[in-house]
Amino acid sequence: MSKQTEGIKALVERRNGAKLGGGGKRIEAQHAKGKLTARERLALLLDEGSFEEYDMFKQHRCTNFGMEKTKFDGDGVITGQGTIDGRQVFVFAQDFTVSGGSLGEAHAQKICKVMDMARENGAPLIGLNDSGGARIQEGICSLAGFGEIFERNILGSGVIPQISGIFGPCAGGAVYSPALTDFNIMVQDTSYMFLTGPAVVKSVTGETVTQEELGGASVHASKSGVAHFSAASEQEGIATIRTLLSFIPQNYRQKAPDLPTSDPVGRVSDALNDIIPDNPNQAYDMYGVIGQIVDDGAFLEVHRNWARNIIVGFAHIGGKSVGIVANQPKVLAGVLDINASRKAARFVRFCDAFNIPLVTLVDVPGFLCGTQQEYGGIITNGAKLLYAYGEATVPKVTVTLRKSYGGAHIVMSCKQLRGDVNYAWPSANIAVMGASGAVEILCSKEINAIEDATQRNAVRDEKMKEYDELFCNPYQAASYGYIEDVIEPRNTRFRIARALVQLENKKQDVPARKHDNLPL
Amino acid sequence: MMILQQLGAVERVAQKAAHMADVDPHGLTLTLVSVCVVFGALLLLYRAYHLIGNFFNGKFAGRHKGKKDEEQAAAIAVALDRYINEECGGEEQAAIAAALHLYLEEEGVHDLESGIITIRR
Repeated sequence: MSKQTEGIKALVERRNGAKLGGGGKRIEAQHAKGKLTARERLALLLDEGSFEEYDMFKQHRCTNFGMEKTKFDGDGVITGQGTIDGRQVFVFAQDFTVSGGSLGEAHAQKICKVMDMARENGAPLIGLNDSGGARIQEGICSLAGFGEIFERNILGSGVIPQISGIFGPCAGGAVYSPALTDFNIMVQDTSYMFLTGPAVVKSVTGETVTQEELGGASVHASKSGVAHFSAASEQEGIATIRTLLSFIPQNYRQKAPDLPTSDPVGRVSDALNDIIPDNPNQAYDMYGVIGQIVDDGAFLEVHRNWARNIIVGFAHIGGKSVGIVANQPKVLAGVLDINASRKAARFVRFCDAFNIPLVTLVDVPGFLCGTQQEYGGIITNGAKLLYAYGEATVPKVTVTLRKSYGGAHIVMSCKQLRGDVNYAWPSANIAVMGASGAVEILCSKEINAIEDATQRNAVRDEKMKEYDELFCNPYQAASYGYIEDVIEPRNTRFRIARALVQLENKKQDVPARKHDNLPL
Repeated sequence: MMILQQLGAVERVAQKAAHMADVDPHGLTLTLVSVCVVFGALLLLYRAYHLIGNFFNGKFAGRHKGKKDEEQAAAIAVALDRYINEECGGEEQAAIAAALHLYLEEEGVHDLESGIITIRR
């Protein structure tokens, strides 16, 4: 056997060994927990045969605590590039079978390399996290490694899409990388994110709490909003990542790919003509509206279970990827509160960063009142959404379906925030406030002066009717040019689709500055 | 002098009137009738042009169509009743009901759109 052949044989053997990670027993242990290995996740994520691995033979150089005796090829993370539906992506997947997926210097260097390559080549970065955290034996080098990763998350923010899949523990400082990325997908029952674990919580606060209760997928998907998606299984989580990518471009210079559809642009939806109840206080389901106007009824919702009074997500209309923001009248009457404002603001800014047009469906009676909201900073948080819409230079198409009152009207992509095309349904009420509140303010003296209760109610009703006729319709706004047109609900899909095509070449600037001072 | 002249003019008119009464006792009546005929004709013309204008503005369309719709709807209803009694399929009934709904739908309830995007990029 020639030396070359021997060398090739050694290479193949070493590569096969590296692919086993921590070995067969640890792989079995991973499976026993209901988790896939890092390589299995990558095989599901990427197109078959597309993955090229970098630094498969990289090892740590730590000699503390006898570490020089335990070296693994790859050092617990698999990095490289591949394709998803033919589109290049850069990936890293932490391997829990190798030192618990702990992050040391070499581990971090591998991740930083693919992060740099992703940014320089203008391709999305996808990280599959499954790690016990910092490698204690490497000391400050572990922390430095995290710092290098976080800095690259920051440099890549708004340049390339960054998606984090949490497929195991993600604790301590490690959580900040996913926190800095655009989207987090967590898996129920097997993934956790928290700064300090249950043991430390118990010792410091005396609170007894499980890992799931403290930082599980359901918690972060419904209470904190840290997780954008919560998947029932790793397979579902990975499928979500693939679907999510179909709506977003490779980088900030490109537009999202079109998705051809057989759903006609001119499709009318008679159901929309009847969806608004006659009773203004009766709720209806905004999902019904969204389902009618998007291509094939397909809508990928983000933050489905958090701040459910506002709906955000991706869809295609006329084949074009759009970001949809819509108030949900079925939850808290669609009011804006702290979480809803944050949720929508983050989404609007992502869409603006990556050239995804925004379609806003408005039915908002105002901001949620009360001390909890005021003490929690509804002012600042509401300002985030206002700022996000005002700053956005992507095409903005807004349709007011019913209520649009007061400050919430302004915040929800009104004309004055450089809304490009603003439509309203005939049922739209665009006003400072509703009739009952307005009459209480404007006519309280006159009404309270009436002694007879029946007559007082009659006068109040008359005043409310007068206010309704004057303000609670879209035509006052239309008369000032604050909306482009009043449209029949069943034509909404066509009007939005046409507006998006009209606005395709939109170019709009913001003043030159170092960076803004968004009210954080 | 002016008063005398005016008095003379009045006397001349009275003489002419008396002369006319002798020559043509029905003249006044005829004059009045003629005036009425002329103005009556003018009134009729005005009315005719007004109706023609309304016709071209479609103001009679609704009334006319509604009456036609009612008669035809009644005929369809009778035919449908006979058809139902002779055992017809549910799908056929649904199709007839849908066709009736579409036929009897009032004009102008929809804001029609072209449904076509003509921009080429």
